[in-house]
Amino acid sequence: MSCIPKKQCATSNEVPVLSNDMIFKILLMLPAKDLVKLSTVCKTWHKLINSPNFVEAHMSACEPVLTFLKHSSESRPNMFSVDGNNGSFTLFEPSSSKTRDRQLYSMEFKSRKSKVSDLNICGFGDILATCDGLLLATNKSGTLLVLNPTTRKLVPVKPGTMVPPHDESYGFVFSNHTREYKLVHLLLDDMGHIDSEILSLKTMSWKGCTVPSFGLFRDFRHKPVAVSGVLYWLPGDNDVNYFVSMNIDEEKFVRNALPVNSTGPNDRLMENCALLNFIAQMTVYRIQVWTLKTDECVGIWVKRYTINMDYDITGLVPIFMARDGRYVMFKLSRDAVYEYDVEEEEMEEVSVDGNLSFKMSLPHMNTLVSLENSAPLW
Amino acid sequence: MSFSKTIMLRNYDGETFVVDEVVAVEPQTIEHMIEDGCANTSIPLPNITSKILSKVIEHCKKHVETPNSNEKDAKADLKSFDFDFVKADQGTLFDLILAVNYLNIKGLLDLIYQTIADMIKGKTPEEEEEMRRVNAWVFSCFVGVTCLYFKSKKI
Repeated sequence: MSCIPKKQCATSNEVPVLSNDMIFKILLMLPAKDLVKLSTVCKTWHKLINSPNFVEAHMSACEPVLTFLKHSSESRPNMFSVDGNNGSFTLFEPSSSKTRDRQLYSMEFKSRKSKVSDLNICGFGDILATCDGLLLATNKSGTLLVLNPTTRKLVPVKPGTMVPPHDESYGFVFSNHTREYKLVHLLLDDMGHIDSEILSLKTMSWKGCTVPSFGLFRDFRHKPVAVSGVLYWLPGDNDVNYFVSMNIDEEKFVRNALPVNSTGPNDRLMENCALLNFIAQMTVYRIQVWTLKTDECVGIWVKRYTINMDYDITGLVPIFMARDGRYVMFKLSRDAVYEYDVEEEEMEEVSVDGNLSFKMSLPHMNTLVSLENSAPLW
Repeated sequence: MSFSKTIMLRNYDGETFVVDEVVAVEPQTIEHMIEDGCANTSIPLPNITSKILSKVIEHCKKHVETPNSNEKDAKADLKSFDFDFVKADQGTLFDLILAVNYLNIKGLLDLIYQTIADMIKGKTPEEEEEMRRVNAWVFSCFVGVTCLYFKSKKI
């Protein structure tokens, strides 16, 4: 598209004309929070920002952040609650009750500093899973819902089989094949057997799927990781030499070999650059990072790098990897966050504002993704 | 250096700029022109003013001259050069963006996009007015493009 320049510059009346793709590229560089506001500038921008192509392009450039719930008894003005009690869910201002409420926060990291943002949403029970910036959570009343905390779009979800919270696990994944988001619910029934069901967030109905074979999962301690339409689980802690995968289109649980045994509670599977990574503590001073590369439908584990420190690094729990894979963020219980620079081979503490005393945190992205807005097939 | 090939660029004001070929091929548009053999005498750039063209050449020169090493000093130096480079007034920035888009210099284009994005980013409601003023020109770009489109279709 050729540009049409105007020669006279910078008089207050004459302005240059920019092509659509220039505006597209500029807006792509802005954080989702600003784009939500900017979509109200004019109809053209609203259409552009909400177009599936823009949303997908923006999402693929997003850096991960950490999202977590924290108790807060302050009731601030303009706070929204997801604990609607009139059947239909809308975000609204809660009544002035002084009870402690769970609010949603996000923590982002840049240049070894962290910034905690209050997302102004309360009324949560628990956060269960995230996918592409969408959050699966329960509210105080126990209702299941999917929301995008940035766009504030919220959709209640019909619950699946009801079991106590510690006997279940949710996976949240996008199927490229059918262009829809799906939930995979694993649960322990009263006989001690593991059952599984899948919900399509398009049809909003649960259906059964092939049940994982007996003994495949030892416990639900590890939350699943979604990578390119496949969910992956570490089946337990302590001497585990395999991981479980489930392709959302094939709906079968498959046992696969890990590159090295997982011996500690801090080993993690993690997504990065659309590939599965395995971060394993090998010794007190060494952590290995492996990547699963697929070569003609065969998965091969490749050792990506080793973190070698001359001090004790047990207790470091990986939380996420930077989008380009350059940094790995670790949490040291409730005390600190560390950033490992892969290129420089340096482990540095990140200055954190506030404390880290939250139980549940999930890697997340601030995107404009909504359930109605799946990108078109190319 | 005296034996390296030079390219002549002739711009809107009729001025001629002589640059080393290695600098001149930073803009992809010029590189393609040279490959296609259109650069025998001088390359015409009728839509770019001297002021803007000299700025662009300055940027290309700096990036070509800085060795592509991973040394922290070189990188930091380049970064501070880029930082000062885009500290121009809005008018210059706008002219730059059009010129750089025409010349197709990816690195510089991304830098300018980022600068404009930073201008828009993170405005509080109080600064909304300022933002709308900044965005007014972007908004009017759409209006302008649409008007020109309809004009060309004689609607």
